Amino acid sequence: MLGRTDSRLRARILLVVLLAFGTAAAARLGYWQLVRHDWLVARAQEQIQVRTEVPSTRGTIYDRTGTVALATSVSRDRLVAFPAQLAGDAAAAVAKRGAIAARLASILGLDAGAAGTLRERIDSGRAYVVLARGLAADQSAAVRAAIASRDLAAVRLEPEAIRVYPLEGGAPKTTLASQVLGFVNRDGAGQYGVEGRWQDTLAGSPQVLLAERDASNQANLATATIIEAGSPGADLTLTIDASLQLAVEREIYAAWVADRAKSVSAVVMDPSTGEILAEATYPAYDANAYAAVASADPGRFVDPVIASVYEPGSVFKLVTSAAVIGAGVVTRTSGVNDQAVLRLDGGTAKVTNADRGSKGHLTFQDAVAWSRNVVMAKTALRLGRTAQAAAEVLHETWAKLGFGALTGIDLAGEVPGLVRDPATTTWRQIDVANGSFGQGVAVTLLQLATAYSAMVNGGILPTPHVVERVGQEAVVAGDRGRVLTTALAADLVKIMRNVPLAVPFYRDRTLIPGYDVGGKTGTAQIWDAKAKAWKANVFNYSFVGFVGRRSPDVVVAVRIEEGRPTVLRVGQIEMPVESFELFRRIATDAMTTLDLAPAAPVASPPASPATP
Amino acid sequence: MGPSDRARPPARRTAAVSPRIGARVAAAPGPRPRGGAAPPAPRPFTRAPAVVRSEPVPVAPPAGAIHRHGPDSVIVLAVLALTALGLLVVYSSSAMDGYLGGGGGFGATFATLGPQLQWAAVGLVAMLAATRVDYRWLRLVSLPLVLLAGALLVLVQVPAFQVSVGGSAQWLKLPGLPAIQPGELAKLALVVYLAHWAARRGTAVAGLTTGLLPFVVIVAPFVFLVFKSPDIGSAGILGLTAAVMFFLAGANPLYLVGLAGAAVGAAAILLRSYQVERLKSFLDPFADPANTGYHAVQGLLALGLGGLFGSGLGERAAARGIVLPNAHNDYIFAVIGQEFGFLGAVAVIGLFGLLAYRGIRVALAAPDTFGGLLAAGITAWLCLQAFVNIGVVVTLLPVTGITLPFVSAGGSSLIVSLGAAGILLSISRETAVQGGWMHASGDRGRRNGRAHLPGSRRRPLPARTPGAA
Repeated sequence: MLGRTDSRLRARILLVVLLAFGTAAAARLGYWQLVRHDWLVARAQEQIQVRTEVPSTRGTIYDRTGTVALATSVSRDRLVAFPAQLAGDAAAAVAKRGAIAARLASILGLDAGAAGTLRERIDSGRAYVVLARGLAADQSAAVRAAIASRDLAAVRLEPEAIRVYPLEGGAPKTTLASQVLGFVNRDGAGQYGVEGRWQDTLAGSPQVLLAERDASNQANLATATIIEAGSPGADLTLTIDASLQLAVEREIYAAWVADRAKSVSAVVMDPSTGEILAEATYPAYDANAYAAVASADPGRFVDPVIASVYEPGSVFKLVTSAAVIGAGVVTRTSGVNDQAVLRLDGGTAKVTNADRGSKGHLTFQDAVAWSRNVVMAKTALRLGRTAQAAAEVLHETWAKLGFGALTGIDLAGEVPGLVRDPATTTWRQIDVANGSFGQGVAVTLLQLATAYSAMVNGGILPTPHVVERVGQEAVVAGDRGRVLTTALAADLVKIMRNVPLAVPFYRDRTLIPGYDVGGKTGTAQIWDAKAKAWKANVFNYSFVGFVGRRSPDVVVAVRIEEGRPTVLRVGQIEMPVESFELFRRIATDAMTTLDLAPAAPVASPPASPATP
Repeated sequence: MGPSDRARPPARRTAAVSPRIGARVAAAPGPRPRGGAAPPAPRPFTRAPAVVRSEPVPVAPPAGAIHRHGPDSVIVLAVLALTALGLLVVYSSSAMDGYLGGGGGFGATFATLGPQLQWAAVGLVAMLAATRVDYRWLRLVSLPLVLLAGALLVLVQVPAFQVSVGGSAQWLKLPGLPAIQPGELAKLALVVYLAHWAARRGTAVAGLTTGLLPFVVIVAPFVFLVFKSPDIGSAGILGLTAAVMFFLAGANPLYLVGLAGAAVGAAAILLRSYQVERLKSFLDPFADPANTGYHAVQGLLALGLGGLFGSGLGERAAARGIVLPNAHNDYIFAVIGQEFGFLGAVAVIGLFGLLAYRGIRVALAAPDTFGGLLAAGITAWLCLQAFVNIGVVVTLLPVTGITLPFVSAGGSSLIVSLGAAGILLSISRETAVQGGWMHASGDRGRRNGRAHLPGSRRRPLPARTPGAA
């Protein structure tokens, strides 16, 4: 046998090197596990722990009585699945998925199409999918039983807060005050209206939990620690009166049907405080089915009363009256001359009355009542020596009464409208003339109601608002100061009272026996921006007025958008429900639901002359 | 460790000697036999002066004698402990993934452990068989074995037979067989063949044309093929183990330095850019924890959570956010560190250290050069692979995908490792007594300044009968 030719020394060197490797590894291991232990654990915790926010119960929204819940939150179950646990191409896995899908489809009562979608989700292999939301109580119970009996695997029920709007609105498939309230989306965020504007108050602050992940990478609530307690959402009490709101919604729905209008809006407010008592538009929507609305017609979410601007037409003549009487150009009873045509800007433009005729000599307040465009244009142009000077006075009045600015109502999505500012653009005479009868300006119905409130409450411009109390704490909306003198405001109220008295066909359809009523109609042509022409035979009808026992108690503004009238003759058009008739119905509802009995004994109705 | 270490012949195999001699040996002053089974304590004459001792008495055996005995029990225990721990931790680290991935049910938790149990059973049988068989038979099959391994390494480059796992195509799928990693078999085959080759060459391995060139011709194709799999880690272990064996066999150290330089140069040319990025990231894994440093950081976080005592077996599931890639495989040491803490992880390092110590002891005591080189090669391979794997987890080394021998999941690795341990145990069954001609240096070159023996050159001296000198 040969001797060993390998080196014993080198074998020992190898041993030493190997042991040195081991020692180095152990030392390095100790460095990480002992020396850097705390640092690594802190770092690991960031990965291990998952931060979960548990939303607090959302506050309930009540009407002004504090007893009628307009919106409330309930807990329902959401069905989720973990398809990754069921993945696989083996026959057993496929059969298991099929059995689960079939069982769920029968529990949820799905049709063939929906069952197919459910099956696709279960086959998706994703880590986490939501199969159904807002399960009914019996469905939840059936799923729980199936999970307990192991008929269902890899599915789970998770509680979820659902916003419920329990009251039906005045029109089919709507909920009460849907556009005022808005809705709450899946993420618990309020959208539009009160829900959107008061989101933080209603939602409160969520409870924040720190929990470890479980095997399926979800938060394991058994290990959770609360790091922020959170606070429940506050309840809101609105200024909206539920029964008046319902009555208003019924009236506008009836008008919408009768007039074949595009939309009908109305707002009822307390002129002295700015409280909105009712506010509605049809078409509205069902806030409990907001998802369907969102896919079909998301435009319905927008509240036209605060977010849709239009040319108001003759209702703006009261604003012009405030300017010209305030400037001393005319008095309420001054005599003015009407004429058929007023030529302006050196004959390049002209203004006519709606009936293309002339009423001759009459008082200023009768000229407002008979809605004489020519008279309004002439007096407005007398506000200054030049058209530009007159424009500045007119614009100042608009600005004082809140046109072109947000009213500050506590709803989401209000728009300021648009009025031309003479400081930035030069006005011709025709611009002043148009502005004097409400063309060439874009305002919201709420701005009109607010401006009229200032006229009838003695000259203070209120801040409209819908939230009366947060919890038990009253919300102070305040006002925007005096914008009209008391005398001027009193004059304007008299002009409004004169409108239904002076014009016979207003009289029998506007006045309410035993009540103090006044207001102004407006019939505005609609500019079709696409066709670049006035739309034929469709108009925006407005009426803004007041009703009260002895003095104005509420202001009612209505708008019938794109109503389709019957033209009797030039300047006289007829609709099944005129704007002033809608006003009277709503005003009557307001008086009865607010328990304002007639102050004056009901006299026999004034002699009604034949319709002119 | 001197020659006297080896003076522990099993009493059963020692010829009975007269009581007189036995008494003299027992009473003699001087170094007592150390290590292993202690000889029976001599009885003082005062107690039983009249008793004639009839049982065998150990004596210093003649130098060069070969003693046959049982396998090294320490190695057996270390290997069994590591294998058993591996099965536990493989289950602990794979059960929940299996449960979630397999559609639930208790059976699904065995998705990884089930095969691993079968591989362990096969591997233990292989170890037992290799222990019983005389390791010298391996010299006969060493060439066919290494050619087979080479063929498999070539086959795995053929796309039709590849099974890609985690971006690397190191798995070979032959019809009718489970997927195997030819790289693992190549390690064992190359170690056996190199031991055979170096033992036959004798001192000629120190030469350039007789040692270095053939060595490179043998080893380079294997390293290159494994490198191209691509499996840098295994290629590194393969090359390193071969170099260690070359070194032990008596290579010229200058050539080894040259080899190391050539390996670094080749790696610089062949490495792809993403591999270089991964290599660099170990220096500071926290610099880019979401990308290049991701694996390293996850492993360190797991270690950090373990602390001194660990979270306990199976408790890792509670730290679900730590995503250990290949937790039951390349990063199983991180799982051990998390579940058994620093103490448990150091115990694992200690078991491999024990393997290294006993393995080298077996190599030193082996009766022939082949056995010595084979034992040292197997020991170096297993321990290097273990320490590289651990070094990766503790960020001493760049991330490479190699397994922790005996512990990681994976049939090829486990069976081959256990088989190699069996060969080591087979060598440990024979011990050559040190101190005779048998262990004289065969080198009679001029460098030692002694008398030049004509004609012998670097050839080893012929063996002499012990005691004849």
